[in-house]
Amino acid sequence: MRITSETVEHTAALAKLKLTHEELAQAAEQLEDILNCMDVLAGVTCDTQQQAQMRKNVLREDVCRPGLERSQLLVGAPATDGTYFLVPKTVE
Amino acid sequence: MRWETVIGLETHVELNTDTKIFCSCSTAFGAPPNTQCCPVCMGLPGSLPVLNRRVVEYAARIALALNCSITPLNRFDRKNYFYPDLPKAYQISQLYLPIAREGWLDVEMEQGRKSIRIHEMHMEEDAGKLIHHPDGGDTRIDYNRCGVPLVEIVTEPDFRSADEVVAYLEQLRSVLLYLGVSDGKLQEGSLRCDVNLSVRPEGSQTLGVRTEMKNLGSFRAVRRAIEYESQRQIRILESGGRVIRQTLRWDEDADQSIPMRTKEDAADYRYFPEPDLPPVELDEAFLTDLRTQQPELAAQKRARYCKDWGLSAYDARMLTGQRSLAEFFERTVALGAPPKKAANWIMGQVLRQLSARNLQAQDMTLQPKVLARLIALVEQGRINRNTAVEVFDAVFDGGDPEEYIAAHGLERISDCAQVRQAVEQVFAENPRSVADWRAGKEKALGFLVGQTMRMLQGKADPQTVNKLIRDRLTEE
Repeated sequence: MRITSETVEHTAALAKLKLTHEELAQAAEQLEDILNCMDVLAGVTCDTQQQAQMRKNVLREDVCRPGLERSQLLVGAPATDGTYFLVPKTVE
Repeated sequence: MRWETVIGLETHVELNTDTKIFCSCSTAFGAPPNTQCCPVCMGLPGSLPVLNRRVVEYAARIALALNCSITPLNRFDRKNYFYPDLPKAYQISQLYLPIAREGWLDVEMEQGRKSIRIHEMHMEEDAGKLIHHPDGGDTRIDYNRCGVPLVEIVTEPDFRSADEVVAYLEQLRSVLLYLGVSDGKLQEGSLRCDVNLSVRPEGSQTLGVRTEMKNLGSFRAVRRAIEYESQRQIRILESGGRVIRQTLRWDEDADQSIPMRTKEDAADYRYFPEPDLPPVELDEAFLTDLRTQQPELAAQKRARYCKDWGLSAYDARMLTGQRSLAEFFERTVALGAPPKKAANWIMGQVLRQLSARNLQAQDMTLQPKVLARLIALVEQGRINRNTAVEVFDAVFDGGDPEEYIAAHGLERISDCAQVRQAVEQVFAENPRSVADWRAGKEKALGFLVGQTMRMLQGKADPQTVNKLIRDRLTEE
């Protein structure tokens, strides 16, 4: 196991999440699964020639385009006042 | 014991591009909340960032102006943190391969020039704005600023006083304004700085434990915060205590620093390379192009004004204080005005008018050709200096000096016969003053000159009037 319960507890603390013992164990298992999944990538051989052909300098021009309407922007938010996103008081 | 304050600065500069760093949303300041956002800057699933070409160009320009080594192959990294000012829960920044390292900025101080070393400079995105409810209710978030391009410039701990820090910030601001890459407005947050400060016994070579102060929104706040924090740390050390490494927030209203976080592990950002952005290569051709296009900065202009045009260091400093003012000055000179005369007009009359209107040089409608013309008219003797100031005030907001002079009959009387006629009349009306002068009262001459000038509505050359009166007095 690369994901220890300490790692999960530390990450949960950073994320300001309160997890029960069961949830901690479950998260550790899931995170381990994700890492195992990512190991597939480690098995892929990638030579320097391929790396040299990697895309670079993907840039866009500094030209403005309209984004989302505010109503669209706020539609998925758990809490809004129609103008702002609302979150529980967060002061560091 | 004498203490030495050691300060390093992290300065965030908002670049004045039209769009955000990774998406095409507008960066205009002051728009209604949450109206300049899109799936990319909101971190919605499936969206991909694409780097703004102009951000790279502006950052490289700053790096060159700060004499930095530029990283040929740039990458971005994710800085993970859980705070709702960034909806992605990470900031795209540069940790491992920042765009520039190891530069310096020369700062002019009263005591002489000091070179401040630049440790590194990187590109990153700004966060949104949180508005905390005063009564502890919900926090409101405006994401318009989220994704606005920033560069962060980190110095070495080279400052020893608040004066040095403020001088550096002013110098940096001038560089940014001359490069045209940022509007440098502290009050709108386009220049923000964090102060890392520690104290140590004078003469010591090891650094003390430092604190970091955030939220410094004005030069005044920077100065106050440094003075406050350095005194606070000295008090702790003198009473036998230890300074704790922590982040403090400067409260400008309360005039004191307030601890933000004390937990050592709070800054666990778990940086890793940003997989959504391919690397950016800055090749020599690109950098050579930028170098040749780099505008002349204030320090270079000052040196040139002194060397080529014989201006004093003070004059050169005043004229280069605002980029638009320096440009106005240079264009006036290019139109034929003698540099010293143009400098005096600008530092005197132009700044007087600007300050009366509470304007910056960049907002001025006055054209260099108008001032150059006015200076030429004085030089040619067609109007005298006082008249020129009157004309200047009249045409400051628009108008043609020569038309104004013609319409108001202000042209200097160069016709000697006309002046002589006025002198005759003044002599006839003031026989006592004439007698006084002849009796040895030199002051009477001034009175006669004044009367003649008045009769000619100030349009004659005072020296000519003076000479004609003296000739007339000694004639008989």
